[in-house]
Amino acid sequence: MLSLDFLDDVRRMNKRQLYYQVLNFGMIVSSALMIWKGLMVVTGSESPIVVVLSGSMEPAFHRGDLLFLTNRVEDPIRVGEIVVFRIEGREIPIVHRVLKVHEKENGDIKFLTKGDNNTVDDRGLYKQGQHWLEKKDVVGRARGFVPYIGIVTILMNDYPKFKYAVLFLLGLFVLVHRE
Amino acid sequence: MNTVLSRANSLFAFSLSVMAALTFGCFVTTAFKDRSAPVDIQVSRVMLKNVDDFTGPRERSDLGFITFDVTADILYLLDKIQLQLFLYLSADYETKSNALNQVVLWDKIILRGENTKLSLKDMKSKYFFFDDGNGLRGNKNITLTLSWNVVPNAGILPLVMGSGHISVPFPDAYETTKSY
Repeated sequence: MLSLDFLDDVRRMNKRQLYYQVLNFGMIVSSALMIWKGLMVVTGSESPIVVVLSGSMEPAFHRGDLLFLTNRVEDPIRVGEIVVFRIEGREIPIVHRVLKVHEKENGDIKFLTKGDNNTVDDRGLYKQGQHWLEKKDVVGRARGFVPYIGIVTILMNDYPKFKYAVLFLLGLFVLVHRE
Repeated sequence: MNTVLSRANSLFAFSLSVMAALTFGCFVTTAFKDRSAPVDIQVSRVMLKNVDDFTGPRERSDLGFITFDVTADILYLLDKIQLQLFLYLSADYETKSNALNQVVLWDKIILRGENTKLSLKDMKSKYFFFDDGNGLRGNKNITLTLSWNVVPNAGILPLVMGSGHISVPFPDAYETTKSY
Protein backbone atom coordinates (compact mmCIF):
# COMPACT_ATOMS: atom_id res chain seq x y z
CA MET A 1 0.00 0.00 0.00
CA LEU A 2 1.14 3.48 -0.76
CA SER A 3 1.29 4.85 2.77
CA LEU A 4 3.51 2.02 3.98
CA ASP A 5 6.02 2.68 1.16
CA PHE A 6 6.34 6.31 2.27
CA LEU A 7 6.81 5.42 5.90
CA ASP A 8 9.41 2.76 5.08
CA ASP A 9 11.48 5.44 3.33
CA VAL A 10 11.28 7.71 6.36
CA ARG A 11 12.13 4.95 8.79
CA ARG A 12 15.21 4.02 6.80
CA MET A 13 16.61 7.54 7.20
CA ASN A 14 18.80 8.15 10.19
CA LYS A 15 19.15 11.48 11.94
CA ARG A 16 21.87 12.84 9.65
CA GLN A 17 19.86 12.16 6.54
CA LEU A 18 16.84 13.82 8.10
CA TYR A 19 18.86 16.95 8.84
CA TYR A 20 20.16 16.83 5.26
CA GLN A 21 16.62 16.74 3.91
CA VAL A 22 15.60 19.72 6.01
CA LEU A 23 18.69 21.64 4.88
CA ASN A 24 17.86 20.77 1.28
CA PHE A 25 14.41 22.19 1.76
CA GLY A 26 15.89 25.38 3.22
CA MET A 27 18.25 25.68 0.24
CA ILE A 28 15.39 25.46 -2.24
CA VAL A 29 13.39 28.10 -0.41
CA SER A 30 16.32 30.51 -0.18
CA SER A 31 17.32 30.08 -3.85
CA ALA A 32 13.76 30.87 -4.87
CA LEU A 33 13.85 33.98 -2.68
CA MET A 34 17.20 35.05 -4.16
CA ILE A 35 15.93 34.71 -7.72
CA TRP A 36 12.84 36.77 -6.85
CA LYS A 37 14.83 39.55 -5.19
CA GLY A 38 17.33 39.52 -8.05
CA LEU A 39 14.48 40.01 -10.52
CA MET A 40 13.23 42.91 -8.43
CA VAL A 41 16.61 44.64 -8.68
CA VAL A 42 17.11 44.00 -12.41
CA THR A 43 13.69 45.24 -13.43
CA GLY A 44 13.47 48.05 -10.88
CA SER A 45 9.94 47.02 -10.01
CA GLU A 46 8.73 45.91 -6.60
CA SER A 47 6.70 43.17 -8.22
CA PRO A 48 8.25 42.08 -11.51
CA ILE A 49 5.68 39.39 -12.27
CA VAL A 50 1.96 39.99 -11.81
CA VAL A 51 -1.19 38.05 -12.59
CA VAL A 52 -4.04 39.79 -14.41
CA LEU A 53 -7.03 39.78 -12.09
CA SER A 54 -9.84 41.39 -14.08
CA GLY A 55 -11.22 41.35 -17.59
CA SER A 56 -10.82 45.08 -18.17
CA MET A 57 -8.04 44.61 -20.73
CA GLU A 58 -9.75 42.04 -22.91
CA PRO A 59 -9.32 40.84 -25.59
CA ALA A 60 -5.59 41.24 -25.01
CA PHE A 61 -5.29 39.99 -21.43
CA HIS A 62 -7.65 37.69 -19.62
CA ARG A 63 -7.91 36.75 -15.96
CA GLY A 64 -5.01 34.48 -15.18
CA ASP A 65 -2.44 35.80 -17.66
CA LEU A 66 1.03 36.47 -16.37
CA LEU A 67 2.74 39.81 -17.07
CA PHE A 68 6.45 40.66 -16.86
CA LEU A 69 7.12 44.20 -15.72
CA THR A 70 9.98 46.66 -15.72
CA ASN A 71 10.06 49.99 -13.98
CA ARG A 72 13.33 51.58 -15.05
CA VAL A 73 13.65 55.28 -14.32
CA GLU A 74 15.22 56.00 -17.73
CA ASP A 75 12.07 54.79 -19.48
CA PRO A 76 9.60 57.65 -19.35
CA ILE A 77 5.89 56.91 -19.15
CA ARG A 78 4.34 57.42 -22.57
CA VAL A 79 0.90 57.07 -24.08
CA GLY A 80 -0.13 53.59 -25.20
CA GLU A 81 2.00 51.76 -22.67
CA ILE A 82 0.40 49.20 -20.42
CA VAL A 83 1.07 50.14 -16.80
CA VAL A 84 0.41 48.28 -13.60
CA PHE A 85 -0.39 50.68 -10.79
CA ARG A 86 -1.74 50.77 -7.26
CA ILE A 87 -4.19 53.36 -6.05
CA GLU A 88 -3.15 54.98 -2.78
CA GLY A 89 -4.61 53.07 0.10
CA ARG A 90 -5.54 50.02 -1.98
CA GLU A 91 -3.56 46.81 -2.29
CA ILE A 92 -4.77 45.36 -5.55
CA PRO A 93 -2.67 46.31 -8.60
CA ILE A 94 -4.56 47.37 -11.72
CA VAL A 95 -3.40 46.72 -15.29
CA HIS A 96 -4.54 49.43 -17.73
CA ARG A 97 -3.26 51.51 -20.63
CA VAL A 98 -2.02 55.11 -20.48
CA LEU A 99 -4.40 57.53 -22.19
CA LYS A 100 -2.92 60.96 -21.45
CA VAL A 101 0.45 62.20 -20.28
CA HIS A 102 1.42 65.69 -19.10
CA GLU A 103 5.06 66.14 -18.18
CA LYS A 104 6.70 69.23 -16.80
CA GLU A 105 10.24 70.37 -17.56
CA ASN A 106 11.53 69.16 -14.21
CA GLY A 107 10.30 65.64 -14.93
CA ASP A 108 7.07 65.67 -12.88
CA ILE A 109 4.65 63.47 -14.71
CA LYS A 110 0.92 63.06 -14.33
CA PHE A 111 -1.05 60.61 -16.42
CA LEU A 112 -4.48 59.13 -16.95
CA THR A 113 -5.31 55.47 -17.62
CA LYS A 114 -8.15 53.47 -19.12
CA GLY A 115 -8.83 49.79 -19.54
CA ASP A 116 -9.18 48.64 -23.15
CA ASN A 117 -12.46 46.94 -22.36
CA ASN A 118 -13.90 49.87 -20.38
CA THR A 119 -15.82 52.67 -22.04
CA VAL A 120 -14.67 55.38 -19.62
CA ASP A 121 -11.31 56.30 -18.21
CA ASP A 122 -10.18 55.33 -14.75
CA ARG A 123 -11.04 58.57 -12.90
CA GLY A 124 -13.91 56.68 -11.28
CA LEU A 125 -11.41 54.23 -9.83
CA TYR A 126 -8.98 56.75 -8.40
CA LYS A 127 -9.23 58.20 -4.93
CA GLN A 128 -11.91 60.77 -4.23
CA GLY A 129 -10.67 64.03 -5.72
CA GLN A 130 -7.71 62.42 -7.47
CA HIS A 131 -7.62 63.15 -11.21
CA TRP A 132 -4.16 61.91 -12.23
CA LEU A 133 -1.72 59.18 -11.41
CA GLU A 134 1.94 59.84 -10.66
CA LYS A 135 5.18 57.90 -10.97
CA LYS A 136 4.97 56.79 -7.36
CA ASP A 137 1.74 54.89 -8.04
CA VAL A 138 3.33 52.78 -10.77
CA VAL A 139 4.44 49.22 -10.02
CA GLY A 140 5.81 48.69 -13.54
CA ARG A 141 5.30 48.73 -17.28
CA ALA A 142 4.22 45.49 -19.02
CA ARG A 143 6.94 44.31 -21.37
CA GLY A 144 6.08 40.66 -21.96
CA PHE A 145 3.36 38.20 -21.21
CA VAL A 146 2.52 34.53 -21.00
CA PRO A 147 -1.13 33.46 -21.15
CA TYR A 148 -3.08 31.30 -18.67
CA ILE A 149 -0.26 30.40 -16.28
CA GLY A 150 -1.43 32.71 -13.51
CA ILE A 151 -4.71 30.82 -13.06
CA VAL A 152 -2.99 28.73 -10.41
CA THR A 153 -2.44 31.87 -8.31
CA ILE A 154 -6.06 32.94 -8.71
CA LEU A 155 -7.26 29.47 -7.71
CA MET A 156 -5.06 29.55 -4.65
CA ASN A 157 -6.42 32.94 -3.65
CA ASP A 158 -10.04 32.01 -4.14
CA TYR A 159 -9.77 28.66 -2.41
CA PRO A 160 -7.26 29.00 0.44
CA LYS A 161 -7.75 25.35 1.40
CA PHE A 162 -6.33 24.43 -2.01
CA LYS A 163 -3.28 26.60 -1.34
CA TYR A 164 -2.59 24.94 2.01
CA ALA A 165 -3.07 21.50 0.48
CA VAL A 166 -0.56 22.25 -2.30
CA LEU A 167 2.00 23.71 0.11
CA PHE A 168 1.60 20.78 2.48
CA LEU A 169 2.02 18.21 -0.30
CA LEU A 170 5.06 20.02 -1.72
CA GLY A 171 6.71 20.26 1.69
CA LEU A 172 6.01 16.61 2.38
CA PHE A 173 7.39 15.57 -0.99
CA VAL A 174 10.63 17.49 -0.57
CA LEU A 175 11.18 16.24 2.95
CA VAL A 176 10.51 12.62 2.15
CA HIS A 177 12.15 12.30 -1.26
CA ARG A 178 15.58 10.82 -0.86
CA GLU A 179 17.49 12.48 -3.69
CA MET B 1 -0.82 1.71 -8.36
CA ASN B 2 2.75 2.95 -8.29
CA THR B 3 3.36 2.65 -12.02
CA VAL B 4 0.15 4.50 -12.86
CA LEU B 5 1.22 7.36 -10.62
CA SER B 6 4.75 7.51 -11.96
CA ARG B 7 3.49 7.34 -15.54
CA ALA B 8 1.06 10.16 -14.89
CA ASN B 9 3.87 12.11 -13.25
CA SER B 10 6.24 11.75 -16.20
CA LEU B 11 3.46 12.51 -18.69
CA PHE B 12 2.62 15.67 -16.82
CA ALA B 13 6.27 16.73 -16.62
CA PHE B 14 6.76 16.04 -20.32
CA SER B 15 3.72 18.03 -21.42
CA LEU B 16 4.84 20.91 -19.21
CA SER B 17 8.27 20.97 -20.84
CA VAL B 18 6.79 20.76 -24.34
CA MET B 19 4.46 23.68 -23.63
CA ALA B 20 7.32 25.69 -22.17
CA ALA B 21 9.42 25.02 -25.28
CA LEU B 22 6.54 26.05 -27.55
CA THR B 23 6.01 29.25 -25.60
CA PHE B 24 9.70 30.04 -25.81
CA GLY B 25 9.64 29.36 -29.55
CA CYS B 26 6.69 31.70 -29.90
CA PHE B 27 8.58 34.39 -28.05
CA VAL B 28 11.79 33.95 -30.06
CA THR B 29 10.14 34.04 -33.46
CA THR B 30 8.16 37.18 -32.75
CA ALA B 31 10.56 39.16 -30.61
CA PHE B 32 12.87 40.37 -33.35
CA LYS B 33 10.54 41.17 -36.19
CA ASP B 34 10.47 44.63 -37.62
CA ARG B 35 7.08 46.05 -36.88
CA SER B 36 7.08 49.48 -38.45
CA ALA B 37 4.78 50.30 -41.34
CA PRO B 38 4.02 53.41 -43.42
CA VAL B 39 1.03 55.43 -42.33
CA ASP B 40 -0.72 58.39 -43.93
CA ILE B 41 -2.64 60.85 -41.75
CA GLN B 42 -4.57 63.84 -43.06
CA VAL B 43 -6.47 66.40 -41.04
CA SER B 44 -9.54 68.02 -42.48
CA ARG B 45 -10.86 70.20 -39.65
CA VAL B 46 -9.50 71.76 -36.51
CA MET B 47 -11.52 73.68 -33.93
CA LEU B 48 -10.79 75.02 -30.47
CA LYS B 49 -13.00 75.80 -27.48
CA ASN B 50 -12.35 76.79 -23.90
CA VAL B 51 -14.67 75.15 -21.38
CA ASP B 52 -14.69 73.62 -17.92
CA ASP B 53 -12.94 70.29 -18.08
CA PHE B 54 -15.88 68.04 -17.28
CA THR B 55 -13.84 64.85 -17.57
CA GLY B 56 -11.84 65.60 -14.49
CA PRO B 57 -10.40 68.67 -12.80
CA ARG B 58 -13.04 71.32 -13.13
CA GLU B 59 -10.84 74.12 -14.43
CA ARG B 60 -11.30 75.99 -17.64
CA SER B 61 -9.14 74.26 -20.20
CA ASP B 62 -8.68 74.22 -23.91
CA LEU B 63 -10.75 71.62 -25.71
CA GLY B 64 -9.66 70.73 -29.23
CA PHE B 65 -11.66 69.07 -31.96
CA ILE B 66 -9.86 67.39 -34.84
CA THR B 67 -11.38 65.57 -37.80
CA PHE B 68 -8.89 63.30 -39.50
CA ASP B 69 -8.31 60.63 -42.14
CA VAL B 70 -6.02 57.64 -41.62
CA THR B 71 -4.71 55.29 -44.29
CA ALA B 72 -2.44 52.42 -43.34
CA ASP B 73 -1.73 48.93 -44.54
CA ILE B 74 -0.58 46.79 -41.67
CA LEU B 75 -1.41 43.40 -43.13
CA TYR B 76 1.99 41.86 -42.68
CA LEU B 77 2.18 42.91 -39.03
CA LEU B 78 -0.61 40.59 -38.05
CA ASP B 79 0.76 37.16 -38.83
CA LYS B 80 -0.28 33.82 -37.38
CA ILE B 81 1.49 34.28 -34.09
CA GLN B 82 -0.11 37.58 -33.11
CA LEU B 83 -3.24 37.78 -31.04
CA GLN B 84 -4.18 41.37 -31.76
CA LEU B 85 -3.00 44.83 -32.64
CA PHE B 86 -3.96 47.84 -30.54
CA LEU B 87 -3.84 50.98 -32.67
CA TYR B 88 -3.94 54.48 -31.26
CA LEU B 89 -3.70 57.98 -32.66
CA SER B 90 -1.89 60.31 -30.29
CA ALA B 91 -1.32 64.03 -30.32
CA ASP B 92 2.05 65.24 -29.01
CA TYR B 93 2.68 68.87 -28.24
CA GLU B 94 4.48 71.32 -26.00
CA THR B 95 2.89 74.05 -23.94
CA LYS B 96 4.14 76.80 -21.65
CA SER B 97 3.13 74.93 -18.52
CA ASN B 98 4.13 71.41 -19.60
CA ALA B 99 7.23 70.43 -21.56
CA LEU B 100 5.60 67.34 -23.03
CA ASN B 101 1.97 66.41 -23.51
CA GLN B 102 0.49 63.33 -25.11
CA VAL B 103 -3.21 62.69 -25.57
CA VAL B 104 -4.75 59.65 -27.22
CA LEU B 105 -7.49 60.83 -29.57
CA TRP B 106 -8.67 57.55 -30.98
CA ASP B 107 -7.92 53.87 -30.67
CA LYS B 108 -8.97 50.59 -32.23
CA ILE B 109 -8.37 46.93 -31.61
CA ILE B 110 -7.70 44.67 -34.59
CA LEU B 111 -7.90 40.96 -33.94
CA ARG B 112 -6.17 38.23 -35.84
CA GLY B 113 -8.28 37.42 -38.86
CA GLU B 114 -9.86 40.84 -39.27
CA ASN B 115 -9.31 43.17 -42.18
CA THR B 116 -6.02 44.98 -41.80
CA LYS B 117 -6.27 47.58 -44.53
CA LEU B 118 -7.18 50.79 -42.76
CA SER B 119 -8.83 53.52 -44.73
CA LEU B 120 -10.77 55.75 -42.38
CA LYS B 121 -12.14 59.08 -43.51
CA ASP B 122 -13.62 61.98 -41.54
CA MET B 123 -13.05 60.35 -38.19
CA LYS B 124 -13.90 62.32 -35.07
CA SER B 125 -11.76 61.78 -31.99
CA LYS B 126 -13.02 59.14 -29.58
CA TYR B 127 -11.74 60.88 -26.47
CA PHE B 128 -12.06 64.51 -25.49
CA PHE B 129 -8.91 66.42 -26.33
CA PHE B 130 -8.59 68.47 -23.16
CA ASP B 131 -5.33 70.17 -22.45
CA ASP B 132 -4.02 70.50 -18.93
CA GLY B 133 -4.50 74.23 -18.97
CA ASN B 134 -4.86 76.62 -21.87
CA GLY B 135 -1.94 75.59 -24.03
CA LEU B 136 -3.73 74.72 -27.27
CA ARG B 137 -4.65 78.22 -28.39
CA GLY B 138 -2.19 79.48 -30.95
CA ASN B 139 -0.11 76.33 -30.61
CA LYS B 140 1.53 75.92 -33.97
CA ASN B 141 2.76 72.41 -33.63
CA ILE B 142 0.51 69.52 -32.64
CA THR B 143 1.94 66.29 -34.05
CA LEU B 144 -0.47 63.45 -34.76
CA THR B 145 1.08 59.98 -34.89
CA LEU B 146 -0.44 56.54 -35.35
CA SER B 147 1.22 53.88 -33.18
CA TRP B 148 0.43 50.34 -32.26
CA ASN B 149 0.95 47.82 -29.53
CA VAL B 150 1.44 44.26 -30.75
CA VAL B 151 0.06 41.58 -28.42
CA PRO B 152 1.57 38.18 -29.28
CA ASN B 153 0.34 34.78 -28.23
CA ALA B 154 3.19 34.81 -25.75
CA GLY B 155 6.30 36.94 -25.44
CA ILE B 156 7.38 40.54 -25.74
CA LEU B 157 4.86 43.39 -26.07
CA PRO B 158 6.48 45.92 -28.40
CA LEU B 159 5.23 49.45 -28.92
CA VAL B 160 5.82 50.74 -32.43
CA MET B 161 5.31 54.14 -34.04
CA GLY B 162 4.05 54.34 -37.58
CA SER B 163 6.34 56.09 -40.00
CA GLY B 164 3.91 58.85 -41.00
CA HIS B 165 2.93 61.77 -38.86
CA ILE B 166 1.45 65.15 -39.45
CA SER B 167 1.82 68.47 -37.73
CA VAL B 168 -1.28 70.55 -37.13
CA PRO B 169 -1.53 74.13 -35.88
CA PHE B 170 -4.38 75.20 -33.66
CA PRO B 171 -6.22 78.47 -34.30
CA ASP B 172 -5.50 81.59 -32.28
CA ALA B 173 -9.09 82.18 -31.29
CA TYR B 174 -11.74 80.15 -29.57
CA GLU B 175 -14.81 78.99 -31.36
CA THR B 176 -17.91 80.32 -29.64
CA THR B 177 -20.62 78.75 -31.73
CA LYS B 178 -22.15 75.45 -30.67
CA SER B 179 -21.11 73.64 -33.82
CA TYR B 180 -19.08 70.47 -34.31
